[in-house]
Amino acid sequence: MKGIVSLIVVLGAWQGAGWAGWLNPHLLPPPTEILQAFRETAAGGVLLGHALASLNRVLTGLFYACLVALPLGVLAASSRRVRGYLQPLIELLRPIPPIAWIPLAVLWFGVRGDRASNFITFVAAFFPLFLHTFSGVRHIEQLHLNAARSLGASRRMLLLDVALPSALPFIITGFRISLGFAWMCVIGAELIASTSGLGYMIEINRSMLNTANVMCGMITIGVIGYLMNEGIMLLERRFSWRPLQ
Amino acid sequence: MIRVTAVSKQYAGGREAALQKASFEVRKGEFFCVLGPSGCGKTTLINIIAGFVKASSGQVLFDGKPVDGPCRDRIVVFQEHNLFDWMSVAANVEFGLKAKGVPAAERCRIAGEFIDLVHLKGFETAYPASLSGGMKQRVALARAMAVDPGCVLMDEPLGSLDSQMRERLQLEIMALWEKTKKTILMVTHDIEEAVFLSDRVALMSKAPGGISEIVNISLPRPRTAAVKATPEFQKLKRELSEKIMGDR
Ligand SMILES: Nc1ncnc2c1ncn2[C@@H]1O[C@H](COP(=O)(O)OP(=O)(O)OP(=O)(O)O)[C@@H](O)[C@H]1O
Ligand SMILES: [Mg+2]
Repeated sequence: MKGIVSLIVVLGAWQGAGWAGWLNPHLLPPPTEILQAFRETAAGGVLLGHALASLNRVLTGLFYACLVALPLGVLAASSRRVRGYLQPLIELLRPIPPIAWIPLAVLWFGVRGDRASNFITFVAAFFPLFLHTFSGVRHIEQLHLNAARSLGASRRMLLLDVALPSALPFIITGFRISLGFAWMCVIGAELIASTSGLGYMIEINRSMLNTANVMCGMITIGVIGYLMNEGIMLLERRFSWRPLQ
Repeated sequence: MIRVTAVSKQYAGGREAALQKASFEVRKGEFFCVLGPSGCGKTTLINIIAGFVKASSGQVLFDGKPVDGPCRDRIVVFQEHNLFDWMSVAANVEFGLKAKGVPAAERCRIAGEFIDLVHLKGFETAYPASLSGGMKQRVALARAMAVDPGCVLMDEPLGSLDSQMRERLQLEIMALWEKTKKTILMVTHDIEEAVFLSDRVALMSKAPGGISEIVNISLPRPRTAAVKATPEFQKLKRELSEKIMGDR
């Protein structure tokens, strides 16, 4: 309730300032103009097209990240040897922000097509997923493992029926963080290394001084990010048989 | 069936031994209790017999073969809540059967039978988080019994329950034992529980624990709760508590 009040006050003041002529519309267009931009971009399907392009890249990167990070995380957690080989590598690569890979991605994959952006979302999604899978599997209680082993569980059952389900709440949290991170990074990648997507849309409109469209793109980015996060939170609550950390 | 010979355990970093030269033998089909005060090494003993922990010295023979690692012929019912939280009651009970390679339909039938035996019919699809402490231990009992092990090792299975629930579950454990004829080795700190359930009771001395004496419980079977009121029962209880006190 209070949130809505403050929102209305800010929007009202903003609109009022616009009408009073205190704002330079090229720098900060009033809400009505942004609304108009929404109508125009949505009407031709332009906005939807860009949003779908960005989403597609996020999901592609996330898909490959799952493919690599999940098995690697389980392996690293369950084998001391694998852990020994992987840890230094991961620790060296992890502090490099995914967007710092953009220049390299452009060199490798070019700016046309999706591959550069897909690569960036893959890098962004990989680390949270890997680390959460790793610590999820590492935190399986010894008692559960003992019970399972005493009941005669094979390695396969230990993995599929004990380790993975017990780590699932961690993995879903990792998935949520990866998704949010990949969403931020895809916009960054599209600003530079793409010819479509919401990031491209706000950059191209900036260069044309079409500020209302820039803000319309920004708001769309925010709303989609919020919705994705909420969606996975629902999933998290559904699978939280242990209190979430 | 289980022969424990001079088993000691010294944990790395432990100040003194957790278990000191424990020796006893459990016969096939017998209900055997190890009675000892808190911290005397009961869990350590169970873990060694189960194969989770290696003894520092001494030997455990199971059916004549030395124990090396866990095995589904010696199932443990743990002191703490230890069900698989992400599985329904039925899936928990079926776990050991699945590991054994029993086909799904057969699994479901056997699990149903044991769930029935521990009076949890209707809770097959419930998850452990929604069960009371007593119900959880019942599921753990059913899970252990369902795989048809040679023997069941129980580590204070009723330790965390209130006294009313304790007495009810004692009766249920007794009924399970009579029905399945399994060898049961149970550790407990409760004298009454040990006397009520056992054929023989081994007394464990205070830390570092060793077996000081083995007492025959010659109360007639089948036993009901009424046996607790008989003079013979009271006499055995008094005897055991004097022996334990004398040990201190
Ligand atoms: N993993 C371990 N590492 C070091 N010391 C341990 C370990 N487990 C148990 N101990 C010690 O060994 C002793 C015996 O412990 P144990 O858990 O076997 O006793 P217990 O009889 O089962 O106690 P309780 O009645 O509280 O369950 C205790 O002093 C305990 O601190
Ligand atoms: Mg214990």
